[in-house]
Amino acid sequence: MAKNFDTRAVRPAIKGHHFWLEPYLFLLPALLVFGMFLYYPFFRTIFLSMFLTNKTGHAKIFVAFTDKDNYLTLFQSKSFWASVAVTFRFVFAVALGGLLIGLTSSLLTEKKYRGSNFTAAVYAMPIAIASAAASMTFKMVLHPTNGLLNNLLGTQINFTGDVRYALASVIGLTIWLTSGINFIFISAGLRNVPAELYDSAAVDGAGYWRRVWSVTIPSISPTLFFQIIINIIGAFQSFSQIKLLTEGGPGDATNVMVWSIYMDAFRNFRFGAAAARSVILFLIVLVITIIQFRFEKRGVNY
Amino acid sequence: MRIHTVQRRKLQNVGRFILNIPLMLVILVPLLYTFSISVMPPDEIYGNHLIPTSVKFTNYIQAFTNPYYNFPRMILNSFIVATTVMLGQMVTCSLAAFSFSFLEFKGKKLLFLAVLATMMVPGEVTIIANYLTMMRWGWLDSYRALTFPFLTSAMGVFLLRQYYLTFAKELYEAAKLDGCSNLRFLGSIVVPLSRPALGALGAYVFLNTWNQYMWPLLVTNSRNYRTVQIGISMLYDIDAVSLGLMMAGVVIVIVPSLSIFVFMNKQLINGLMSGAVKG
Amino acid sequence: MKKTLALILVGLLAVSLAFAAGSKETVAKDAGPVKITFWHAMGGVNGEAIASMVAEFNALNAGKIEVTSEFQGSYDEEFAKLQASGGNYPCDIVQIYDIGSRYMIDSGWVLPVQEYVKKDNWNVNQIEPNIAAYYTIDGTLYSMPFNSSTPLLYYNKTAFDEAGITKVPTSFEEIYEVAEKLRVVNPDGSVKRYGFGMGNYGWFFEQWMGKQGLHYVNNNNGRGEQYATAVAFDQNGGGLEIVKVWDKVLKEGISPYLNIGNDDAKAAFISGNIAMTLESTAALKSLLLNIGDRFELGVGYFPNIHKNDVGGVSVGGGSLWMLNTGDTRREDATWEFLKFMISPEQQAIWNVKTGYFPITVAAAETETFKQNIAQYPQFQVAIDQLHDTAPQYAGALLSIFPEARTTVEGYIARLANRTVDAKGAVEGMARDINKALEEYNLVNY
Repeated sequence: MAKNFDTRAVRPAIKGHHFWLEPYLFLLPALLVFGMFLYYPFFRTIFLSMFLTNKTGHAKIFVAFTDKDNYLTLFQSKSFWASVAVTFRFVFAVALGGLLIGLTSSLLTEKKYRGSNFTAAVYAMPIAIASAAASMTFKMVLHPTNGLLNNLLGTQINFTGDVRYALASVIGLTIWLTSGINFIFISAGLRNVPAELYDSAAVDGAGYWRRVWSVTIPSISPTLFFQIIINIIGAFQSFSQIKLLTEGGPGDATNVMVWSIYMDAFRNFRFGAAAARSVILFLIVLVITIIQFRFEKRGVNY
Repeated sequence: MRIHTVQRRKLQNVGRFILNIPLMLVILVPLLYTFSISVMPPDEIYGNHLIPTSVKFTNYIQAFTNPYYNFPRMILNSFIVATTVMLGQMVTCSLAAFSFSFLEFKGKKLLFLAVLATMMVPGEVTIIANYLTMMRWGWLDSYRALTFPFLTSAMGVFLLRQYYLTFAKELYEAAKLDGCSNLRFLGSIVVPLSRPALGALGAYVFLNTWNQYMWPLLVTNSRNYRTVQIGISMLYDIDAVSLGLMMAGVVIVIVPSLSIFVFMNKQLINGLMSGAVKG
Repeated sequence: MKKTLALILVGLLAVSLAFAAGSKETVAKDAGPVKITFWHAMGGVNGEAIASMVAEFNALNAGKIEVTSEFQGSYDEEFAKLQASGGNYPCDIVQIYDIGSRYMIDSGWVLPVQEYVKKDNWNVNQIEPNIAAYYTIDGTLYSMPFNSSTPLLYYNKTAFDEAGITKVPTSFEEIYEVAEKLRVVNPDGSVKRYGFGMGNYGWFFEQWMGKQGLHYVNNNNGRGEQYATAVAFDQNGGGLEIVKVWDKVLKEGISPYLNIGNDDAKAAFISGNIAMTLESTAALKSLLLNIGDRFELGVGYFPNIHKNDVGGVSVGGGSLWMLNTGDTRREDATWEFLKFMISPEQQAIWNVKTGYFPITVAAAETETFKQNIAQYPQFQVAIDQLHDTAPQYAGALLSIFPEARTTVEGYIARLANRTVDAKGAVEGMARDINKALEEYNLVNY
């Protein structure tokens, strides 16, 4: 309902003195939470990482740049580097594996058919399963003497206690867990591929696989790119699977960085060392993300 | 010729469904197995049966009546926490996303980047400091500790901003011309129109919070505040071996979230998809 | 719709304020029963036993004292929680495992039980001397023993009878022989039943040091004038002997590798996949329950490393610590609760329901105890083993014991996976533990 006055006269008043704060006020709730629970702890963690802390988490001895420096100790530790290597293997496998499963399930349900709604629901279901619950389930599935997998294979393999299988077990479980979100997002991407591209491919006589490789995948590359980032960030944060299945073992076989941070902080009570580990983790994630965005410019088509 | 095509299509339909069976089994079998073990008598579990010959629900009764696990209370706790966080995020993220998409102000780009950057900070980097904060403020073992740190998220802000950006600019201009304040515009027009995205965000946040493990593990000490994920992990204890009870706990925990999933399936998926298309 | 938005905001505010108000513990006024909180790490069957004991205490003391017990997960998790509370006394009385003892003593958060022993003129000799010895330093009893256990050898008696084995093995030389006879191999070469199996459990390592009469750490096993500053098991050779046993049983396929902790070993034993295993007395009851009629359960002493070793087991399990809250009413109430929990009748009930042996000498006189022994003679073995050991074999006291135990288990896992050999394992353990110990001592003393 237009009012009968000169809006130009009113608008400057609205945009003027009193309301310049407004946009910031809208942001305030979110920024408050971020400030208290993200920015502050982030800097506090960096601060803590420069000290040797006592058993109640108080910074006691300033050690940065000395020979007892937390970072130096970590870099000299074989266990730390093993942890980094394990983390990279884990993240890589999970990110790629999740993507592949998501792509497969999306392609399988691309065209509608009888029961495709049910199938789609099944593929998406893992997002409703908590990682802790799934970990307990897989603990039973992988049980060395009474578990499903061993029953089916007729063996008595100790999956979570054997260096050959422990990491693979945890990777498998994590891929199972993330298959749901991968399916959802990639399916969405598939839905937006313009039909004309498929039509021209059909005209060119391209077969199914050729079409997938040359048309589908390039068209959904932004989705795939986005999904891989999500997978990677999620993989770096995987915790309950490790805690409930392997506790970082055997040896360092599944000692991902998250786990060693937890152990250092909450079992060994070395908050300073744990803080140093988390800072290093953050830098790694940052570098990987930057690299990915560089790669996006080259590999992704919009 | 026509009959051929119909038959071919039927075959294609069945064929497509069959192609999906292996992957569906991989997803469904662990869950079915969990249920199977939870109702199996103990000597069948130790005898490596896959399907029980007799179904007994004693494990469920035990889980619900055990004085320490207090599943009903834990389910309630998870529910309270997940709902609070869900509502909190819906509110804070709507407000922030509105600011980023409709309003102009100094430092907008910088602030938006600052918000996005939080997506890249892995939880572990902040968890220790946050834990120490909770300890110092005496917030351990409370709903506050379980909810306050999660009342907003970069993902929520991002998702809603993408959605708001699809709104025609004219809508906003027209409302301003009518003398509508920003808050009123947000509340009366934007929010009702963004129900799909809000619904999807809400369901997603609810599920994620329901599924949290590490944080509740650290900040809760008593059965009054424990959430359901912690509860089932405690079923695995040092002196007693009860695999059936453990599996019953898992089933109890996934039933609520699975129900929500089934219920909100379409809305959740569509809403998430609309925000994710361009990435 | 602005109203809806406003309503939501108000609702959120109200909800959070409600929690802010409701989640703080209301301070107990002087009227009404004294409320104390008891933290423990007993789940399953043992947890239920605690629940009923606490309920009985509350019934007997209705209106005067009310105890709330909270299960905190595993010993490790509970210990971590307590440490993380940073001296904010989340409870009045806490059950801590044996290896947390040194930390507790050093923490300054503890009110030694000895204080109330003196105040109340309580006779400390009511407690089994070998158990009290573990928790006593310099004549001061720090915590009240409660659920003490020793490790035992559990065996499948039915299988023993079938194989014609009459003597229960008491050392590893004998175990190797017996295991050979009990081993059952499938036609296709896979093993149907191993003769022996044990979980990768650091506790066994610690016990075997005592069984060889050797120290785990220096400075009189951490009980000397000064706290421990380095491990001793690499210096006195005891550690290597233990690891060599693990190496042998794993390499020669006498035992399968069973995961850290004991759950997998128990499951394997119950299923009949292994015919002998090592476990705590605390598992006796739940083993009996789960085995049922499958086979007859036999129990023997924890085996020696070498036939001629002179030494003994130390107690494991946990004890109850009073926290120094400063609130005398609560501390008095806590003492009453402690006395109840270790009274002869309660200890007999505890023994019957769990398998932990009674820490009170007089418990053996109660009817409850006698009837149980008559029905399940297996319970007696643990008690005999306890009486056969001596205070000098009491386990080590080490501030970073939990971390040390995890380190030991980590190296055994590496040994099992052939990434390190026996000697390397011992060296690694010693190196890692010493390093952590150095840092702890530097920062905390």
